[in-house]
Amino acid sequence: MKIKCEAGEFEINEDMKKIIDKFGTPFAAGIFLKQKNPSIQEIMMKKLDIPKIIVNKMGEKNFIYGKDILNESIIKKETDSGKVIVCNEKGDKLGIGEFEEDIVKNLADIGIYLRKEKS
Amino acid sequence: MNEFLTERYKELLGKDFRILERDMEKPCPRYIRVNTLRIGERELKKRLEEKEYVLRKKMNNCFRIISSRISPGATIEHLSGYYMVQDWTSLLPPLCLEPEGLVWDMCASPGGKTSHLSELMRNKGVLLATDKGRMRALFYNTMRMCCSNVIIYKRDAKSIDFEFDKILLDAPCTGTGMIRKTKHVSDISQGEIDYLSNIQKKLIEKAISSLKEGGTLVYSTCSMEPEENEMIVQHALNNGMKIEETGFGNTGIVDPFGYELDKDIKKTTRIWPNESTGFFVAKLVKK
Repeated sequence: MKIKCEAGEFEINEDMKKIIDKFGTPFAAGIFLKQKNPSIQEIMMKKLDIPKIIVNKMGEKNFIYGKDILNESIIKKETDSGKVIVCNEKGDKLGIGEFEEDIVKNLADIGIYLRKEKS
Repeated sequence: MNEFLTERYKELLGKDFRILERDMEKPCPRYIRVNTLRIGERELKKRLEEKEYVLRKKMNNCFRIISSRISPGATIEHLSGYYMVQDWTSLLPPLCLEPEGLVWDMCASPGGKTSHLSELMRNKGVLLATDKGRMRALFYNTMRMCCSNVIIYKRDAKSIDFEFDKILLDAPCTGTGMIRKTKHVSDISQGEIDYLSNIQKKLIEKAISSLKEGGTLVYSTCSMEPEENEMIVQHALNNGMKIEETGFGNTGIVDPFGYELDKDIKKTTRIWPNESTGFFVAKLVKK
């Protein structure tokens, strides 16, 4: 079930709900959900019905620095349009992007953990 | 180390103080904990070695970084939640607790031990994580490590009114076990030790009253001061708790500075900051 917390919207289970009913709105709980796109945590933890693209080292580096992916960095793709899960050559999920003409726009990436730490 | 701490440690360690003094000059080694929710120990080692890491196994799912070209906080493996940069000593409290059911991490930020507890629970049961601050760090660390059974509250632990199967109290402390890493520790005074000791007593009282009958409480600090460790455990024993062996060696001090503590306090584990950061762990059960 979904729940609103201080940090955003989250997915929790029945056992967690019992605790939350007792203590009120938490800061965060369970799996983080984003409004329009899946969150990084969902990408990592759930089997989502979103096609993948695989990018080379340059694409990987740019993407986790929050940049978009150029077509030349894509090694393999399951689609040419819409939202995609971006993976590196080892199969690690780096985040989520969306095809926009010749590039894959960065919607969310794992580099956020490093950027947030430094901000 | 200031004169105050030097005199205290000379008294506590006797002739072994020389070993501590010698090791204080050495750089403090770094360790990583493998997140087995995400990757196996062998696979992570192989991946990091491909990036010119030299690793030495310290304990199960924990490596010492002998050398590395890239900072351990900046690899894809770190961002993917495959490991946490964490001293091996701070792995001991969650391992000692053997978490299951409804678990409370009373002073959870920044989330190293919280994510370890969640990993040991395999994301089953419920883990309540409270702290008065550093919510973002706690949130991002548990999210990065793919913990899905954690509920985070920005609350003082004393405001929580519930009964738990297991509790981890990694108490706020002077941090004198971190002496090789942080310079501020050199300024610690008796006043600060007493101030924190009072807070720790109140927190352990809260933990005891929040524990189910037969439930387990693990108390830990990264302090080396008996007033924050063995004497807090004595306070717990006076309040109806029973002590158990931690499984990491019986090295607690039972006669610090002339005090006579319960002999069972020997069953606690005290690690001096020779090989890593200093740490103290005690396992207590509610009778």
